[in-house]
Amino acid sequence: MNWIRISWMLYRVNVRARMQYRLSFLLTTLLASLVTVAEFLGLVVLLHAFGAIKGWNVWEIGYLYGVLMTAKYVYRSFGSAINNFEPYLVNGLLDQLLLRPMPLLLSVVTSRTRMVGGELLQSLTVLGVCLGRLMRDGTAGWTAVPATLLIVCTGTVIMFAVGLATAAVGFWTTRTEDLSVLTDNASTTACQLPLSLFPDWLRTLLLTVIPFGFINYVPAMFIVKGEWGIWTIPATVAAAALALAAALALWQVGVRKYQSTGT
Amino acid sequence: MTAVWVLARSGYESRLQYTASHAARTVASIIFGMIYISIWQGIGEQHALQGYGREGMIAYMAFNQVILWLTVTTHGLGLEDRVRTGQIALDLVRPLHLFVFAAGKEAGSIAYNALFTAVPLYVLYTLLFGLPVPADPLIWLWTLPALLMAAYTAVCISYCIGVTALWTVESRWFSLLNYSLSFVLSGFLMPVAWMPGWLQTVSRLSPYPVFNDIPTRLYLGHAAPAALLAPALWCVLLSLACLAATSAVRRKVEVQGG
Repeated sequence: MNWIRISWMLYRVNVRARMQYRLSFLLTTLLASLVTVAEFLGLVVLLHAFGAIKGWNVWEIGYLYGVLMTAKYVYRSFGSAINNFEPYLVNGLLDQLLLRPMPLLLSVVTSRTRMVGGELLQSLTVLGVCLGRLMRDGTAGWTAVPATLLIVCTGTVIMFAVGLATAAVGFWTTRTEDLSVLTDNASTTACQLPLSLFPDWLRTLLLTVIPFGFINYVPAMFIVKGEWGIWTIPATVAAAALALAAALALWQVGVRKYQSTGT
Repeated sequence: MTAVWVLARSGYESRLQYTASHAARTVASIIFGMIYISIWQGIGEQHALQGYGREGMIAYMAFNQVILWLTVTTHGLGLEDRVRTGQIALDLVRPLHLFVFAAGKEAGSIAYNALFTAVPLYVLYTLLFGLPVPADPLIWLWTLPALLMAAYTAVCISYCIGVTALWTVESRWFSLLNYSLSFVLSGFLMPVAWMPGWLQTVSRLSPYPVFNDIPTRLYLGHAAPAALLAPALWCVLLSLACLAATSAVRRKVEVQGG
């Protein structure tokens, strides 16, 4: 309980520190929203030109996008340091955190905060509009609402787990930014569209090593497509738990390997 | 010219470090390319892709992914950090224009990207996806300057973003916005001509088609050499913008740290 209170306090300190530079804070918020809208525009343009893709209509693909991006931004709101871990290793920032009398992972997570209000609003709007439309069309029932809330939570856990594992690899390679492009950016790009679009090897990769397929595609096959059974929901929870356990184990091993590289 | 060469070599050599990280990026790039190609393979099964066809669109995406790394630049050409540390004041007293200094260093980084990412990707995609290798030397004659101008345009835009660090502490988001706009407007995702009318207008009024749409269409023989006029114009305009930005920087600079 004590750690939660301390973490909350550090989070608030971070937010206050960020807001000291008002112009920068406002610009960051505005530009972050524009970036999200521009990225979404890419998908919209594709769907505008071709409509349904591999049996998935615009609203179903919008649902995949909404779940994925909401999970991503919830994760980014508290996991910004994990997602951008390279400077901690390259500049030796981790050395300072190791001296703090609290668990290292908690120190890292609370050392940096990112405001994601604009991005979350955009992804939640897409998710809400698409889910609403699917429910009106009768494609999804009311149970889709709690199921969606659940998979946003499990999706956030999967995002955090993959981010943590990527950061932990940095204990061996020092640089993680490029690996993060693979585990985060490339996987996110792929999972905005149905996995059935991709070749077997890529689908397998996204369901095992980088289990982003469990963030949206697997549960959506039950929630909005109704093609797979209810087993997809417990399978999604299990995949999230497994990913988190594996990432925490890798992090623990990595921390023991850590050698300071900074000055 | 010697100074530019030395700067470019230092930029190139500094990128030669961290080979494991570079390998991860190349793998990421290959997978990114395969993701986009898979998307078009899937779409091509159900839709006629006018003017390109399924194979043509796969070649379009593959070449886009290859040349992507020629327009990926360091955030603000590293100027943000130099402003934070106060190094920018020393940079401005060097007997070398700030833009030449920053662009020279970045040229080495782009050469590194070309050699170690673009060329391997080109070979791989040629073997894997049948990316055509033009036999007509004229195609290369038009494509290569288009690629050089794409890289130069990207450097100029990045420089303009870098100098905003003198006015705002955090300029990283400008880079992200630049990247996102480029993603949508450059023709990276699909040819500009396939976009909705209003977006085509926005795209054609922006410098972004210089990055992908123009070089790739030239390479695939879908554009005439006259298409090189737009990149040439943007190179001139952006060079002037960089010179104007530098004179503004000279009046604005204040040392924040050190």
